[in-house]
Amino acid sequence: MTDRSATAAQPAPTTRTGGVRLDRVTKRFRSGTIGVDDVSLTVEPGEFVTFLGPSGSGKTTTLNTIAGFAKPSSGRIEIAGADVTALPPSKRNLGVVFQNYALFPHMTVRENIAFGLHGRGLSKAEIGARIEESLAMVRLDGLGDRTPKQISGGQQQRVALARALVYRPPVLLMDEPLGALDKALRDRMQVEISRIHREVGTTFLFVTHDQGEALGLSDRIVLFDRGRVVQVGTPAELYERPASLFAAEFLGESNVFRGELAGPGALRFGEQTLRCMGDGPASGSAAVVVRPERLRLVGTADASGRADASGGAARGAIDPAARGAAGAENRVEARVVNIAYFGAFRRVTLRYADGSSGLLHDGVDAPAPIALGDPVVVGWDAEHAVVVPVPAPAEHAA
Amino acid sequence: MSSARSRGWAVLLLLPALVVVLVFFVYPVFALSARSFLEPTPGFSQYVDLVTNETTVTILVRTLVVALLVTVVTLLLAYPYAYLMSLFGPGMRTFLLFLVLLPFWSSLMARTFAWIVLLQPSGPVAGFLGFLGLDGVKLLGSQLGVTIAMTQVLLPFMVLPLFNTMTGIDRRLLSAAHSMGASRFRAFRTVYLPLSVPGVAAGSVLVFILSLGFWVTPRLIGSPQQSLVGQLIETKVGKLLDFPGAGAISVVLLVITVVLLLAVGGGVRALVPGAKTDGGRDDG
Amino acid sequence: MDETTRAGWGLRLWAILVAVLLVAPLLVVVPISFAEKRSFKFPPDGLSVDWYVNLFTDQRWTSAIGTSILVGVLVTLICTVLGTAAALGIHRLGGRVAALVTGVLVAPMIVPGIVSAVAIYSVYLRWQLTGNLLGFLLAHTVLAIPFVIVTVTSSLSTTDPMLERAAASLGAGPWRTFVRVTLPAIAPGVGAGALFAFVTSFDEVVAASFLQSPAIRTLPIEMFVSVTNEVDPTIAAVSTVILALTTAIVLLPAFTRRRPSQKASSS
Repeated sequence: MTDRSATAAQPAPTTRTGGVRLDRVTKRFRSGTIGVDDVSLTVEPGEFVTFLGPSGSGKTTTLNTIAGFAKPSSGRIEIAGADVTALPPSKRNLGVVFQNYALFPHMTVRENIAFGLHGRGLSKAEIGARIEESLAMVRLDGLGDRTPKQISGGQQQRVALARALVYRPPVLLMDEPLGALDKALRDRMQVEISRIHREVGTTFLFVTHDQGEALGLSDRIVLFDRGRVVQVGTPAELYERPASLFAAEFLGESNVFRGELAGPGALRFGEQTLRCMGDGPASGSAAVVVRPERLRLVGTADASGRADASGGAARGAIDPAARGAAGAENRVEARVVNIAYFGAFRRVTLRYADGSSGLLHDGVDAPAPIALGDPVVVGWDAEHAVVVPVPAPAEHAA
Repeated sequence: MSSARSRGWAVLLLLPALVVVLVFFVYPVFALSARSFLEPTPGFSQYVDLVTNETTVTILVRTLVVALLVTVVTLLLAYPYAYLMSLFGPGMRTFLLFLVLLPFWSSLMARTFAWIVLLQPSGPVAGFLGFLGLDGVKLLGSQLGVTIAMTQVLLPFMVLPLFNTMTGIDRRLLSAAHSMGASRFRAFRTVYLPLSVPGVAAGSVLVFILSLGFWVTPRLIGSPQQSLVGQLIETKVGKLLDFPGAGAISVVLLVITVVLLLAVGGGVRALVPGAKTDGGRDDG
Repeated sequence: MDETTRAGWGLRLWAILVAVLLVAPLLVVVPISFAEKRSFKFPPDGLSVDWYVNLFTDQRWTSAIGTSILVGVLVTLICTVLGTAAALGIHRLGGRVAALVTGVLVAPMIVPGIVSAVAIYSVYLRWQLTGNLLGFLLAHTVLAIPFVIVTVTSSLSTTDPMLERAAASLGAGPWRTFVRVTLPAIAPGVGAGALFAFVTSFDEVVAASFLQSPAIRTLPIEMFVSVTNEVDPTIAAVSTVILALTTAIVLLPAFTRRRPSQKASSS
């Protein structure tokens, strides 16, 4: 009844309506633990936003409050401009794709897809047409009469998508939808999901703990940690400009140099001062974060451990000029702990003087002649080094 | 989801069944138990009578012995059978399961009647014993006959819990034990047997409790001279209308039952760590 | 078969012995039912179908069969509806209260049979529920309802809880979700519970033997009375018919099983 009035005037699929707004949403469980802690968030209509975070970080709980499966303890949720905080899931007119798809096992694919079209004021012919249309959208034409058990995991995933989109909801929620698939299928489905998102123009909210999915799919990523939103931004922003050590370490791999700040853009690391982007904090404990592909081998160190960048060339070990590293502003000594061949690059694991370990991605075109145990000098440019605050040790241990 | 409204619905759904069971079962059991403490005068006179009456004590002890015997024999019979069921492939397993389910679902009266035929003087079992040179063993109207019949009747109740537990045991654990040099016997004793304990406990308690409350089979195959506690209760109620006395014996049976269930309940749970852990669920 | 899955001959022999013990005693009723003379002699001397004719013509036996079927069907209906509803309520409620309610509802399955029977008799006697249909219905309902609760609860616990969420997200209200999603998912458990309820009622002797009167007897009571008072092979005929029906019931799932993946999903 209410469903009908809510959907009778559904716009054409390519019209972008239906943002989501969370206003100070908090979810406290009966056990007393806080699942979501004061989250405010605005998702633009048509946007593809990913909730990323480790398990227990509150991303699924946040999605559940949007879907209506969990009632927020406080705060307000708006979908397409309407306050839905008090509405049950069935009245929110959302599409939801579940982690294990939750396809109805006793219904055929077609019946599964038709389920959500019930009570929306559509004629039989319209319903039939919609079903065929969505089967075609997910490329499952001809499989409508199978039951979920008779199709593969990837196909089940497509049915779940078709079922959630067939009634053209303004917002589609997806909870770890690719988690049950193998690697190759996951990659294929990512491409499919992107294509479908472009075709239907619906707002997509996608929960995952997989950084690869988040980086590859999203317009924006919302990073969760311990119930809070810790950073929101485009994939590039989050990767290039992590706002915290957590962000740096959860999304991608990093070299982390811990020390004390000695003014904007300068960090004291042992006896050295490392230069970095100056837009972070200016004093206190901090760390410089450098991505493995920004790190370059600029020379070897002699047996006594002293940096010898120029001498390295003389010995023919590493020619920094040939490797385009002449301008590296920061140099740090390290020891090679492991070298792994990854096809597109070599992954060199390093041990720094302070005992911390790091990573360097070495191109395969001109691999540096290094071996396990070699002392080396690595370098990077200040523009690729980001300063993040270092949390107090006690907090970090948690 | 767990809003006050949905809780209201949940209560509404379970209320009719709860009321029916409370009024027409729980209350009668409670009332019968209460009478044992209230009549003829409030106090424990029924229980004093119970423990001082030699016949009653003899019957109670006899019942416990028979129940224990039936439990042990069914366990010895059922364990290898259930073990073999869990070893076989689906086809053979279904057939063996069929052989268990057939008596399980069959009428108790039909099965007890079958045992009357089998155990009658000059019946098949007597003939077999005579063939072995054991003439003149009294079967019908004896404790031996009752025990044999009860064992067969209760056997499915032992096989099924054992089988359920054994199908859940990962046989690769045995391979692992062998790979580490354990003999077949040692692997079985140190790996399989402990893992099958929950099934053994469940089956044993089930059979023991059912044996305690058995009435039809002892009544028809046994004799009044060697009656079990079920017959005693029936006599008190049916012939003497002694409800308080019957209530006292009932309370004793109930206490034994509850204690056994609690012991095994706790025991089984302790043996399966993390089988069920409740708490706030958040997989995000 | 590798080392760990090989079954020794001793084990096989033992299992054959147990298999014979399980089934053979049931089968002795079959020859007796075709006996020529009024005797339980095994094997019988001559053959006849007299006792089957007697079973379906003697008013004593036919009315007992009628009473048992009537009570069984009504008890099955009541137990299935009340038990399924209660299992759903318990499942939704969860927590300590649900555990307590479950404990009360399955109590009739745990209390020793003779205790239940005498307790029921002592109170039903006062309420004038002995010797009439209502007494049988109520007694059998409380004794059979635990089986429905147990089977439906176990069905619910193996049903993907996300199915109901999925239905809600697709716009279905509580009723449509129940009818179209939950009920089909738990249907096997409801069916098994209904079967259990019918068999429990149809087979029940102890409580019925206290509640019966010569005017109203169920089939097991008629069998009980017959075997106590007389030598009448009609009881063998009844037993044979019941055995045949039981065999059909037990074999039914094997022939109608359409979902062989049941095991795969539960392991």
